[in-house]
Amino acid sequence: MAKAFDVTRQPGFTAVAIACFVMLYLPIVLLVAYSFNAGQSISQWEGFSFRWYVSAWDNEQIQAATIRSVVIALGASIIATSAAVLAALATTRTTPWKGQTVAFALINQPLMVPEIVTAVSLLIFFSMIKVWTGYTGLWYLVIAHSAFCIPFAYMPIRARLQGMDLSLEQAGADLYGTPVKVFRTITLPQLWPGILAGAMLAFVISLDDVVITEFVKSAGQDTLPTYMLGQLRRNITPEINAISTALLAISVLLVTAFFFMSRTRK
Amino acid sequence: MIDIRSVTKVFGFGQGAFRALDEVSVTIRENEFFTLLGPSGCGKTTLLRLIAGFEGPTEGQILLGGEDLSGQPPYRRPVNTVFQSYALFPHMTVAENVGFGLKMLGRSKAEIDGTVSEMLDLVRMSHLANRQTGQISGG
Repeated sequence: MAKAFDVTRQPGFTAVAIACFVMLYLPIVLLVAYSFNAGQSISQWEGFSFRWYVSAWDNEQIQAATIRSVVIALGASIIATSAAVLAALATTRTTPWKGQTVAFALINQPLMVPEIVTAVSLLIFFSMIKVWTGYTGLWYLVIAHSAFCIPFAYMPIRARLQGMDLSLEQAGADLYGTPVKVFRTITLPQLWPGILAGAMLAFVISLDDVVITEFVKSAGQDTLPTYMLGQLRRNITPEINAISTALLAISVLLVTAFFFMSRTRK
Repeated sequence: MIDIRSVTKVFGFGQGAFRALDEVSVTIRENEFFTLLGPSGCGKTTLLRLIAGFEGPTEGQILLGGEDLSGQPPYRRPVNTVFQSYALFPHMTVAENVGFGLKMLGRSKAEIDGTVSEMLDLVRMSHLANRQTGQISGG
């Protein structure tokens, strides 16, 4: 007897799903596994050891690059998130104005313009400023990262603002709250999860950027990803695997922490 | 006294324009209990939103005690609205919700606490003062 036809059953779905998961995660599993390799190779297993974690931890270049990465990511996520909050308010909490579509496109420009184009234009622009001012510090990287992190911070904040009941803010105004007071006592407390999500996203995006950093950085300003890229050109050791695994663990921890935070706050 | 003088409200413009209010004139005296009745979409809420100041009239004037309200933002208008969907602040307790208006007016904490507990007593809700608004029934 034929089975009853069930529209919710997709033949072959399980096989496709498994194939996708294997393709997505097998390389990562291998990367993590070989970070514990005792030998010099990233593809020949010679026994279990933590030696590459120890060597990465003691490597002064890696230490400097990590600190630089974190400083840039912190600075960029603070600037980008502040700008994104203002942009999100201007695009959701005002009466529709002429040019709003253009403004929206401009805010999200880094998502549409190819990264390499942004990188080259920033390289040229910053080198002009460098000639005028003589300043060669980290701020170029912080500003460049802030620019392309804005849309990533903007998206969750705008989504949160759109999901919030506008009548609460109107009720606040009706009860004699000035715009500033209403923002502080009603909008901001409800917006926090969105702001945190935006800031974390911006932080992670900044942390693993390669293309723009590679173009904008001056000599001796390697971030962790550009340092790793530089190492690949010389000799590849499981040290690279160890750094990657540590980065992976940190981002998984961040995402998990955020998941639980946003769940309890809601 | 609220004096509504030939108020017209048009939403949108051009082809999609919608005339929600057309030359409405009403006078509501002090202490008068005034009820607006009408089918859905006839402009009752629009008129209330114009009085509260959430929208501006396209034409006409709204006067409160002889003073023109146009150009005054909602928080400078001595009128209050009960919202259709309650509009309770979900991140505040019941007591904080009740005391919000007084807090915005900059009253002292003692005065706010006194008034809030008096009002909650009046409706027999004192035992719920520290609950979040999501934890009580809609009544």
